[in-house]
Amino acid sequence: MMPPEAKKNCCESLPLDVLSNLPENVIDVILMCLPLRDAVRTSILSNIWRYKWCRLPELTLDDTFWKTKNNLICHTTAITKIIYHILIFHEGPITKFTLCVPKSRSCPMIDDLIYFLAKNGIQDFVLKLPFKGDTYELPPLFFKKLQLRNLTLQNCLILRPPTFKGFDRLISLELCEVTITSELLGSLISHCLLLENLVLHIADTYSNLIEISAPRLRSLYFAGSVRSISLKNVPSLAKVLLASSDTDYLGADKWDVVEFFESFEPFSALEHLYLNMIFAAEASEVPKRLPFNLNCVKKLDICVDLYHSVEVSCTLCLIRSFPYIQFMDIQEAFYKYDIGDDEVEFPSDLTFDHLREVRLTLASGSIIEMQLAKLLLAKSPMLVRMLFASCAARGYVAVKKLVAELTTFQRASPKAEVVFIES
Amino acid sequence: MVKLKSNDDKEFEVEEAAVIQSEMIKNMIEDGCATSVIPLPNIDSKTLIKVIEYLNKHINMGKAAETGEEDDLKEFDEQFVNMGWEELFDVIMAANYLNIHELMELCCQSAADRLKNKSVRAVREMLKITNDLTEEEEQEIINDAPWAFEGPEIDDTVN
Repeated sequence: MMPPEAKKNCCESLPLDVLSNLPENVIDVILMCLPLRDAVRTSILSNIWRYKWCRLPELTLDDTFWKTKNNLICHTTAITKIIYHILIFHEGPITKFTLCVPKSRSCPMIDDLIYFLAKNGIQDFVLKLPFKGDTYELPPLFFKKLQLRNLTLQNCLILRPPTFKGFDRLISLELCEVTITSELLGSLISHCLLLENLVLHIADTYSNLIEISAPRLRSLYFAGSVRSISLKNVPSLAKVLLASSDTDYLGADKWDVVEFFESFEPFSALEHLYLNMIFAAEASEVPKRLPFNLNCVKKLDICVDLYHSVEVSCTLCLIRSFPYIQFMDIQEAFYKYDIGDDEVEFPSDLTFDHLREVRLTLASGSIIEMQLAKLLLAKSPMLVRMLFASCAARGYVAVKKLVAELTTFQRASPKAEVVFIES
Repeated sequence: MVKLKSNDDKEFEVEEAAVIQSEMIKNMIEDGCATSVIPLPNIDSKTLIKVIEYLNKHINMGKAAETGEEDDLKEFDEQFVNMGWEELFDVIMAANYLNIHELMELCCQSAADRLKNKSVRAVREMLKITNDLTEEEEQEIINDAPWAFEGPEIDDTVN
């Protein structure tokens, strides 16, 4: 490949040519840290660089990849040509492939791509398709040949291949607006026995519940209607983030907070919970506490409307049921300013015996916000730090004033630091 | 404490908790091969001092998230990679040899950041690469992948 003359020149420049002399594995790591476009551009540096990018085992064609100086590559033919170029020149295994197709109408070569990746040992696959156009249906080959460990899919269609049993090596699964029935999704999850991380973005509210049964699941992120999911068998689940979606405002069925947490009861590996209390706004009766304590919960992050009594009682119900909370983050859901002098009587039985750090993101420095802050200071004997932030420019001064007033307030933990974070 | 010896015969004592971030040394300790001084024939003392500085700072990295020291660590990392190309490659070679994954990632990312969006001319000059391609070959490479050469603003400066 390299003419002898060129080789000689190249060797003479070696003492200076620091990068080219690094071991191949090091060069690969550096090239993989570069955007693919820059990595491919190294082919013109010199003869020895010409094909170095071709053996990279990880290729990322994400959103930024398609941006050129003046526009975005979005014609199907242009996209296809680039992908083919990469596949033709590439040598050796590809363990990780990311493809985010920009706003193009269709992308006809994805079947070919999947075939190619299946042959080259793909383990981590990200396929994000544009929202517009026909929904791409994953080919049967996808379920037969791929030995995936991490999979992310966006805007495609999954139909059940008759013999599909699940991905037996899959550790992480992320589905974003994927068209799939709730039964198939539940079955897919329950057949991935090694699954540890699950991320679901679901805009629709399913009429049938998605049953989540995954014995090794550690982390669940769910954006959608909580009324669509039911946690069945999740003994290892330690981290749960439930983000809201618009459909939660409209739900006709009421969310039953006790039922939702019931599956944790016998195992209770749950350590970190993020909840948007908007779920609870329509909750049916909220008990004072759950029928059981979840003693492993150390961190609770909530977004709550402090002026909504059901949301507040649901928050209190959870706090009472998590007696070992160490870190708490409370954020006000709505920026209300003209709220008059509403007061809430926070129950006197609340204590935060293990709370070490709390962060309050407040809107207006109102009386309720002050009461909440005082409650936390008065009932948290182990408190080390209480951080305040303002979530709205209009309330900034008022929140800062509130914090200043608190410095003289009696605390259960005398050494607790009260800090306002300027943002 | 574990004793390391650089190739210019200088010895350094490092806490075991710090040094086991090196997979290579961790394996040696586990196999009982680290009872006396560990010679590192590929690493000079100047580079080894840098590596030890990193290991000591990252000693409790797992706990940084809990103690809120993440920002501090990030700042340290940013300062740490603020070095010339040659020194950076020395540290990369040491991290590769000692198999210190995080340090390798940090330094390789820094190298990549310096090369990102740079023009071909700028990269050649920065790394003192002699171009031995003919004009026809260069044209062929561009024709094969025109998209790679029309990327976002290409920066022609060498810094």
